Amino acid sequence: MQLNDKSIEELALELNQIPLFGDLEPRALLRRVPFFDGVPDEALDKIVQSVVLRTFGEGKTICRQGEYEETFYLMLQGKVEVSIMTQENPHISLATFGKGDFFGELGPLTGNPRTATITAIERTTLLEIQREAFLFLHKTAPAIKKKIDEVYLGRTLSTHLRRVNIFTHLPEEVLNRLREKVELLEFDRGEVIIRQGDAGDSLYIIRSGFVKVSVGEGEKERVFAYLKDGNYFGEMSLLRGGPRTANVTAVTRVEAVRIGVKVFQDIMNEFPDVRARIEQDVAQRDEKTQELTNDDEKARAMKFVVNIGMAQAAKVLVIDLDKCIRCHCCVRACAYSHDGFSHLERRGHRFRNILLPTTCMHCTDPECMLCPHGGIYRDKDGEIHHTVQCIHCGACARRCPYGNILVVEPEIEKRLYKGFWERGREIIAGRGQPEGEKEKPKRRVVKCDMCADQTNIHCIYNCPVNACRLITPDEFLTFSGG
Amino acid sequence: MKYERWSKYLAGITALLVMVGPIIYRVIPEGARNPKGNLGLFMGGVALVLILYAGFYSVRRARLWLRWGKIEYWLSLHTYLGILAVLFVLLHADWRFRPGAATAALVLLILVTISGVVGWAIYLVIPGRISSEAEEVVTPEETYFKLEKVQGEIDKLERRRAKQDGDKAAETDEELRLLAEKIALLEKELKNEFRQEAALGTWLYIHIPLSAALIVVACVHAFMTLYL
Repeated sequence: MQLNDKSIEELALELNQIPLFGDLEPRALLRRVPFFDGVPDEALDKIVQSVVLRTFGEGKTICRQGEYEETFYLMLQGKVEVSIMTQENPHISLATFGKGDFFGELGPLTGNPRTATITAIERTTLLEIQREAFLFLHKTAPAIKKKIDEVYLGRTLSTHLRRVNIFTHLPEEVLNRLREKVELLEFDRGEVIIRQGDAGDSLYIIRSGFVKVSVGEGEKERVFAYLKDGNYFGEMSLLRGGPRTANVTAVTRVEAVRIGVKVFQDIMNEFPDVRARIEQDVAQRDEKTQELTNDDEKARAMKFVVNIGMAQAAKVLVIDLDKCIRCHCCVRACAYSHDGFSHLERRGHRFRNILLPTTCMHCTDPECMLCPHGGIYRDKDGEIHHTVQCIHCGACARRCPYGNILVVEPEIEKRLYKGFWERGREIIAGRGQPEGEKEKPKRRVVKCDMCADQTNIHCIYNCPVNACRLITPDEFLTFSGG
Repeated sequence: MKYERWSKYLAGITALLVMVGPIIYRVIPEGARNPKGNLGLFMGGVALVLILYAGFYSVRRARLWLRWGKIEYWLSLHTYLGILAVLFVLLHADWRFRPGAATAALVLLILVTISGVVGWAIYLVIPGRISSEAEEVVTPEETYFKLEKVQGEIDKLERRRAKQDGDKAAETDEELRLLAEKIALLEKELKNEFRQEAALGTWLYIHIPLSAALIVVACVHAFMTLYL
């Protein structure tokens, strides 16, 4: 009997065929796992379809650092290794887990990518719990919630502190000591974490999300930097004394580790190289701040990058309108490669004549994914796709805070982006803009996924003048003259 | 190889051949430079291949679903091979021109090259100028988006207007009039965008028919030379 990759419900059905287990209830299988102690029967009945038995052979990777996955794992037997990769060290072993341990809680809880790689070091059997079922348990079973939250905090701190460049070389016992003395805090989008002028009482290390460092407010706001996970802030007033020199605001939902001034001073005194590294970073930040203070254009570009959420992206698609020859090859190529529906719409944010067409920002907490039909999902690389279940109702398009999901009709494209021969024929025939075919327009919800399922990004591949291209936020700052 | 470097190499080779090619060719004894001699025919053959290859760019451009390489590379090849084709045709003809298909092909080639250079210049200069002169460069999608929004407002107001009378109706009429003006302005903007776009592509109506004629005449000339 093949048991692997079957849900608990399917397993029970299989077992029911054996006379001895004829009346075995699916939940009775889960009841044998101590993790589910205290969970009501009704709750277990609801999740039996979403809990799957998985087996991994020795050396097999169960989940990989950086991948977006939203499943939770509970170990039934075997042993796994937890490791992380940093810029300096490609393999840092953090722990081993065995029977009864669990992992993967971060994905379904926060929507963030995996923070560590888990590899089976011997044949391992696990229960894989899908996101919805996991969140249901987390919400309805207080015993499970307590267990998970405690472990989550401990692990988050141990994996994270090891990945921060200023602490990466510290001995294990120092990190363990540090872990006991820090706090993990959560901030909502737009929340001010540090306010200019306040007394400096702690250092923050970003665990997930993005923050901006700025002075002033509204129109007069001047953004000096954007920081992401692994970066730290709040060090200047601790090093030099005096009040905070800038505001630090959460651009997305942010989780940050707070280290109090006393603990921070102790580490710096004990490890002079940590102090040296921080001082070096501070000098670089000072230089950059000076540059942005003196150059209005650069400051505007930086503000633009941060405020539109571009800083979160690894690379963004831009169209340089100073180079664009209005041939529409980009849109036509996009339509050709997506069943006649272009996913590229040349409108959106713009900095001078650099247009950022409507492309996905890959939010940490995507609002578009609240689809009742299961018409949208996020893949392991974090890319968001529509599925065959999508009924093209446009609800995701309305939810997207950046307006980057489009409801398109091919008619409009037909009228807009005619090729050379088509236009030529119209001129010869003396016609103006044709009315378009009178058939009922089919609409479709589309979003640019940078041609994730194809070998080329078609708009870039088919732009004859390199007006359409992919650039990183840092390249944008240079490219835009900022 | 990165496109920028690749394109620079191609431009360098083209410039070198254009400058040095004619000088080297002059060193060859006059008898060997006969268009119908082996070297002459070789030069003519190369020129024909270059013309055909450069002409293939329009096939690539019209068929955007093809995976034949980045269109930007094709445009570079099209440009530089077109220039080299002129050189090879002139070497093939040994700078002598007699009436007939050969001279017709040469004249067409020169016209195609000139129109191509004009197009190149237009594409280099005009887009930047449009964006620097306009308050804000708009793309058709942006105007369509605005048009749809205004149309939505008009629909809403018209529904409200159907239930109104007296002063309120007059107020709504005024609002509708202003929105109609906005629509007219946006339509004008859209037409303007199409006009600019048409202006940018006008040279193609000379370049492409001439190129098609060139390919036909060059093939006829090659056929006549080899088989008649």
